[in-house]
Amino acid sequence: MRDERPVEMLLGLVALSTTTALVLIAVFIFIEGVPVIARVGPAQFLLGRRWAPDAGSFGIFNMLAGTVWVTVGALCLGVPLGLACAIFLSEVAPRPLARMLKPALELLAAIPSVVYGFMGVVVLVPLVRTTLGGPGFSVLAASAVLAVMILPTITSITYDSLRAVPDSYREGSLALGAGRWQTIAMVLMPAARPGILAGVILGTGRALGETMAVLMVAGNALRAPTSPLDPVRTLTANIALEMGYAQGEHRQALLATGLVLFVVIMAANSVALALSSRRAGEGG
Amino acid sequence: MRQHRLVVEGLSFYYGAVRALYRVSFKVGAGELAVVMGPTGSGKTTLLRCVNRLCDLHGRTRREGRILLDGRDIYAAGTCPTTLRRRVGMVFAVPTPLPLSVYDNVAYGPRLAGRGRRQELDALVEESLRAAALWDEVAGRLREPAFRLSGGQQQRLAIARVLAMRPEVILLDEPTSGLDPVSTLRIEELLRGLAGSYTIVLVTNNPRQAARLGAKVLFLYLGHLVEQGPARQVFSNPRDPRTQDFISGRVG
Repeated sequence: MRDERPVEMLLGLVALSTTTALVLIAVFIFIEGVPVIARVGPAQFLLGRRWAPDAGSFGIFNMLAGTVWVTVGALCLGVPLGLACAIFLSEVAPRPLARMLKPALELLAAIPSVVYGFMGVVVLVPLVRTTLGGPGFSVLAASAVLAVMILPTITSITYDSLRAVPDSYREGSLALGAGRWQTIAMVLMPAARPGILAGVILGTGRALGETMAVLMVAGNALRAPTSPLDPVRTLTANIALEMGYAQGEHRQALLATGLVLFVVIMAANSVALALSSRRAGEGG
Repeated sequence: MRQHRLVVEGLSFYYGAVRALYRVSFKVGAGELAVVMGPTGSGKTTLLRCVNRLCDLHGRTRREGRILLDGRDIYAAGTCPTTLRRRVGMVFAVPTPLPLSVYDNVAYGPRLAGRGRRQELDALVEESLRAAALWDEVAGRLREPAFRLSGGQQQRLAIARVLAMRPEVILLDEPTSGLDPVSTLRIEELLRGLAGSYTIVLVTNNPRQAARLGAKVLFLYLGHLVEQGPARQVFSNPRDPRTQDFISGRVG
């Protein structure tokens, strides 16, 4: 019998190295980011409205607001669309059609984000400017681009959790005189709820973290928006824009911004993971 | 002459190229308890699923022949399968509580049918659970998820759920196949009590259960309806040797 231990050890090492990368990134970003937050004061850092690195003012509130606006907007557009796609693919479309459409939809995730940004600049921004007014570079444009980008995540996870609902629920419901839509609304969606929530939260994580596409269409104004047509700068865009020339404390403040994002997205993903590990069907 | 509630005429059914039923014909009178027995794979489930049109859900199937409910063809154009399924209730082989509470499982059908008033619904749920001999065990647990009930309780819940629809016909697909002998006896008692008020068609692969329950017994073998008649005659004096083999335990 051949000795399999070397292979096992090699695989273990590879697996370990990826988690090590995660730990190292976390440690690095904490070490670099925490001192600046401590110096400015956590409340002042998060809620301060003045971001003037040259003057030593580091308040990220305007960009935090921008990130929240853009993300919430993306969810408002993307979640209904994603759920509708998933329901259609899982419950309505004939199997062969679903088998064709689902991979196509998942390919949306394979498009580089800069291409999304490009399409946004060329198509969406002028469209917003001419039909709704404002500069076009706006919360709305960013949210719309992000909505398409998170669509594959939400759709495919929702689809998988709907497929995981046992057929006995479908037939049980139909046999009691329920229609197809009643079955979907009253039995299938509740049964798939943990998975659907997980998909939405993963989509949220993606929207929060997306940088390039948002940077290209959001307008990057350093103000908290008051309307979906206002230009905004998100936390991610701010890091990408300023990291190239930032020095000293400015650089640390950007890393601290990254730390804030890191914590929020990690939290979102942990919740999603916890939800998706709950078995479908036991949610009711 | 007794009125026939359910009439199956020359029913054939195909899954793609595979033929599951061969010109099956039989009649069930109102309030009669008919038992379809046969070994696994003989088409019993397909037969039941044709009667409440659940077989519509499969793609690539074909059906010939007619099924009449109170003299009306259930496959006639303009017949709504949803309305039909409210008149023809189904209990599956594996208990299938919906991922809802005990109460909501029973109230599900009536709510869909528009009977949503609280008091009426409460009364209907209690009445149905009592009729299914389950009320005493779950009266204090109506808000609990239904999947916490035992297997036998879940199957009686499935029967209560069907009774709450006040159907004309109840179809049961091997309802005791997953249950222990005590639960099985309880369900059989329950069904004997329900016969008379409801027309019941039960499918089983167990000839002893057919003998215990059936007024009318049908023997389905590889898609052919080999024999049908009163239980006493089928069991004491089967006309077909295949029936003899099945009831003596040599087949299936």
